[in-house]
Amino acid sequence: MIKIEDITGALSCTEYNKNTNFCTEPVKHVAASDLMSEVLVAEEENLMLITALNTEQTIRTAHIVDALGILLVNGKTPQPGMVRLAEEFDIALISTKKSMFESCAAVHSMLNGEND
Amino acid sequence: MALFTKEFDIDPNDPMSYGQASSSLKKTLKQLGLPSDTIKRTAIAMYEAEINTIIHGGGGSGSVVIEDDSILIIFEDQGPGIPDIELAMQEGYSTASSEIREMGFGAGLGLPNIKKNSNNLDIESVPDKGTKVTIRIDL
Repeated sequence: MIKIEDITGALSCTEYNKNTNFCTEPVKHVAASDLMSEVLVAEEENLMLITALNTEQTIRTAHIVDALGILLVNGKTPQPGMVRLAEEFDIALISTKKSMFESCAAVHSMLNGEND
Repeated sequence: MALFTKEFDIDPNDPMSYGQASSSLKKTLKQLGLPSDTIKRTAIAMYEAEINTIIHGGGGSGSVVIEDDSILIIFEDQGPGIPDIELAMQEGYSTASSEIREMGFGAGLGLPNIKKNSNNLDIESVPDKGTKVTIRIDL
């Protein structure tokens, strides 16, 4: 079971919001995109978003699709309103200096390793 | 008789409020104890329509009525209208500007996604007058 806590450690992330399920709920699927329109068509449960879009709309979208958390890439710092909304909706918000490609490869490898 | 009724304004000048009506409805649906699948479908359909009202309609108004057997969501704007609704319903077709795309929207997936997540989608649009979108989700 890969949790957001594990991803935070593996990608040396800065934690901006540690939600209730941070250390307990397993991440099973990932939607990686800077287009929230694409995230809104994701149907999976236990979803984590990987994106470089650091606006309030990322949190709103995560809330609408019941995502567990958001991983911001390229060292993006969340806007203050984004952190407030993450706290309000109880959604994990972490950021890594790694690129989208490196982040996706690392998380994919963690999720795949779990299935081996 | 309606179990819940709410009307709201969609202000295009307050980016923090984009999606607020949909977030708020999602909380209400949870409080009413509706099935999680219904809550998710309703929230996605409404959020897509709310964002469309902002980015294409320039803001407007909306309403939600929850009854025993359905949820009815209506958004109205006085924007430029949709000249070709059939074309707008095609996945990937979009007239969104680069500013809208920078916000993470405008991929041309919104209307098809509303249709997918609802039981009925009705669009009335008059060029240069505005658009009215009515979404029904059966309970």
